[in-house]
Amino acid sequence: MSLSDQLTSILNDLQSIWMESSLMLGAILVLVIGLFRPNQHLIKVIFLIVLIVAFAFNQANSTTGILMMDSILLSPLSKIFGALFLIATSLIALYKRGKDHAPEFYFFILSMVVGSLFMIKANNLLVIYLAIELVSFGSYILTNFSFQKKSFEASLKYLLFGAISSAIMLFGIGLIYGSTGTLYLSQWASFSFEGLMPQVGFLMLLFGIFFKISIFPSHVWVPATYESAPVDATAFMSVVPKLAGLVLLKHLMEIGIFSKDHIVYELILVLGIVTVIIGTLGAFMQLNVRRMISFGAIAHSGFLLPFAIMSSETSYEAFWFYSVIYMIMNFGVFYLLDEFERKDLTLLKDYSNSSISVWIGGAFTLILVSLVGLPPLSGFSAKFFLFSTLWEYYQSSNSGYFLSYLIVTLFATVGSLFFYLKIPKHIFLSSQADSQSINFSFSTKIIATLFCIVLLLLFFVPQLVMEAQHLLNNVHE
Amino acid sequence: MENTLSYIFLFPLLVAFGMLFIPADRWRLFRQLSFATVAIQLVLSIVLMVNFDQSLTSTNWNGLFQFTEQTDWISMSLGSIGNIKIQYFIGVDGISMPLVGLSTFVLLIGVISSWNIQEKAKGYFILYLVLSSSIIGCFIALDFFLFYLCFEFMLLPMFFLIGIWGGKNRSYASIKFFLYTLLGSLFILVVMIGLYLSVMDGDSNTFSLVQMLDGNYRSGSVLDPGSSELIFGYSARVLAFIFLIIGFGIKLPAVPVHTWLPDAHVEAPTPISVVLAGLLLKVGAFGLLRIAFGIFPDIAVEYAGFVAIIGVLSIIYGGLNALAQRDLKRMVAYSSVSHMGFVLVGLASITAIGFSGSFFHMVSHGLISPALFLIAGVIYDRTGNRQMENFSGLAGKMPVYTFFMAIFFFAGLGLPGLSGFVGELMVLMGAFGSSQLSLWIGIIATTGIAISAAYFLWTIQRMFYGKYFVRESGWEQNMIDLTIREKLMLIPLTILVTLLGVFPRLLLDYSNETITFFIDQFSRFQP
Repeated sequence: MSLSDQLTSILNDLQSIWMESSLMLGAILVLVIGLFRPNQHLIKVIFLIVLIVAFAFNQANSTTGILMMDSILLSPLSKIFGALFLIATSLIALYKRGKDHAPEFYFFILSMVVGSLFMIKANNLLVIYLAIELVSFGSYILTNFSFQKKSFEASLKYLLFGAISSAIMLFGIGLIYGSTGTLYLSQWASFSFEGLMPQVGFLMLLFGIFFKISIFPSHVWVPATYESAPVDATAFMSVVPKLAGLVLLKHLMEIGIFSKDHIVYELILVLGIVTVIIGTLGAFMQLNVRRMISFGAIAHSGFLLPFAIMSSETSYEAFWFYSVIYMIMNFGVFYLLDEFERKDLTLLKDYSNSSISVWIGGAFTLILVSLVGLPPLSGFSAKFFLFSTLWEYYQSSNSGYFLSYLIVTLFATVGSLFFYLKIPKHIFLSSQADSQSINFSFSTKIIATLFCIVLLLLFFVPQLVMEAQHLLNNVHE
Repeated sequence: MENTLSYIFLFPLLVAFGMLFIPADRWRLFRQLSFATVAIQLVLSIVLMVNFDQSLTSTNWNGLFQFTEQTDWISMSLGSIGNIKIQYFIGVDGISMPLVGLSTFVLLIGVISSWNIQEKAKGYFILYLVLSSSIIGCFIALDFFLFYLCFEFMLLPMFFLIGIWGGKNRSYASIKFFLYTLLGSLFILVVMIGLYLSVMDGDSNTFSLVQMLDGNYRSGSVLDPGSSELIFGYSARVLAFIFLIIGFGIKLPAVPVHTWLPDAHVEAPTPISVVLAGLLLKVGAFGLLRIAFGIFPDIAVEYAGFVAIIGVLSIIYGGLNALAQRDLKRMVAYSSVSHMGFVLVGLASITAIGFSGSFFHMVSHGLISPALFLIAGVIYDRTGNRQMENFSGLAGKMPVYTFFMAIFFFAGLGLPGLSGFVGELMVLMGAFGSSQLSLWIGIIATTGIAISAAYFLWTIQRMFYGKYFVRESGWEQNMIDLTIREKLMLIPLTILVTLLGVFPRLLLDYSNETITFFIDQFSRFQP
């Protein structure tokens, strides 16, 4: 192919990445406007406009398949998750953000969105690597965005750990390239992955992806990072890069380089089980509320993981449902944590030392109950679909690992009740006489209530989530 | 009669929602509204009971339910599982109808007992009404999902009711209660998913309990009786039955998963103890009856001995524990464990008389145990203490109190003429007459009655006979006899307990046809 042909084909395919381009340009725009020290609301508005424009590009783009010199793969999955990421990112605007460094903050958030979008669309190992690095760089910096000693420490830990896992992943990519001679995922199917070298390479690549999803053993950075980063950054990091990693993993597993009974599947399931257990048990002893919720988020990674390796229509739809609900729950719970921390309530015992209004406490309880997965909140539906999917997959594959996964996740649900319930327990059950009363603004109450209403609504009308999926994919029934 | 059942079920929920918008300082309004709501529920359920057709017979479960209401509710399609359709499907048969009546009655007693709650009255009565809605829902749901929803939704109100208005150790007790019951309900959830994937209504999967009871399985599905699939070496149906026994056994509670009950009862405020003992335990028993025994008759026949052993264990272990207690409320709590063991034995006998006995005992215990907790509450309200050794000779000082105490203690130990006797007698007749159970089950269960006589009589002797004495002189002035409000709660209970004791047909006429049909279902599997 001559150079001019290549350029023409790139030009033709360029429309398929207008979404990412617009986000990147928008990020720079936010940064430049930030130089003029504008009103912080203006920054938020521009941030939202950038997201809306990107969303419009995502919807307008109807091409699917392999594009951009085989480096990008557009699929229905990447389209709906792309839209979900943009919606999730826009929820950050609900969080209060002081005047300081607001433009830079939104710049990094937008670049992380770009990285996440490339992660779910990548068809090339180098694109995967670059996308993960792009997301990671943003995360390292945002972790230290509260400019305190503690967050600096968390950021440094995160950076060191990230550097190692990125090196391992790069080495893995090298091994795969060395044994297959191709960087393109879509060409993997024609190569044998039976030798030791490509398999080891694949496991190293997995390690790097697990780092983003926070699966054992690369979850260790999560508690410190989630605890010390600004809350809005934490909410973002706990949702968008994690889901991007899962979609990427799903994409890798669906190429079909390994047969269904290959040990890789069992390995992933075992690591997932360990993640669920560690996340649940780790949360038990935490005194800091945000740290406790972070362990809960690790457990949720474990809950989400099997979706990435079950390739069935049920799994696809249940994955989408769980992701949407997980996004809403996490943004809800971190929103309330943010508001609480602004009133200097960070430890569980601070909660019992202050009297918190029943309205906020009740809304908080409902969101937590949804995280546990009790009816009538949509967290229950999400888990219910997960259990149904695991059960169905167990029946069709007859692999005991899926049954074990089902059992462990069931018990982990009971375990998670134990720690999530500590929050309402400290808010309501152990009130002290000399407690100082804490008042929340009306808008906080309204936003918290809205989160609850959405969670309740989606329990009774789960079909909405599925219809959203069709709508985002422009499929009309 | 159209929609009356829905009114009973949903009316409290509506009122609770309305209460959200009433300012919290008007605390009197909340108790009045709650009283009116539950009273209306009681009236409606009496209307239904009067109109209930006791002689209705049918050749399948579908025809046995009356006052049914059915509409589509939640629906969503999920991959190859297909369209998940959840119905709003309610109705009552001869077993659940009296239980609905019992629920509304006990809930009304509970409201009267809560009359003096001023602290955070708004939250209390809202939670109470939500709780009452979900209890009724459990008894009338004919869709497994709806049942499960109500079953789970009892937990959260109960958690706060014990945790906020409870005694000293309340947060420990409420969390223990929540964790135990949630663990149990997850076992039920697994079975629910399995049943959903196996049972068909027409050509789509269904949560309908009626279809599950009638056994419309898709051939080859996991819980199909004909399926030969094994999980960990057991057939899926056996595992499902055992899961249900564990799940509902926790709620019942059966030994060895009963330990949440004494803690919850001791810490709960009196009205919540009343509802907990009177109704929540019945939900567990009802779930066993309807779901475990109803949907898995083949396995129930096979594992009846296992259930009976748990039952006997509960009777004896609960009884011996009650004997050892010094706290009056804790003693009553353990006596509940012992009594619920009788329900298990009656079910395990799989005879018409044993089933009727279990059912009768459920209702009778639903009347006696609230009264026992009220009696324990009387002492606690006056002194803030319920240790038996701190009181003696109360008979002379509080004769009316002693009179009611005697009635319910004797009802509890099974004195003929009171309702407790009928239930226990029928259960034991079932156990001895059963072809499933060995003679030992009946013999050991009978000794349980002796134990219950021992702890009740001993308590009477320690607290009510002898020379009048209370531990602290400060309590002296409070030791007045029953107030009008307390009499108002105990008199209706006394009337019902006596009435059912001398005229058990009043209740058994409701359940006769249902239980006859129920027992027929087992005959195919019995040797």
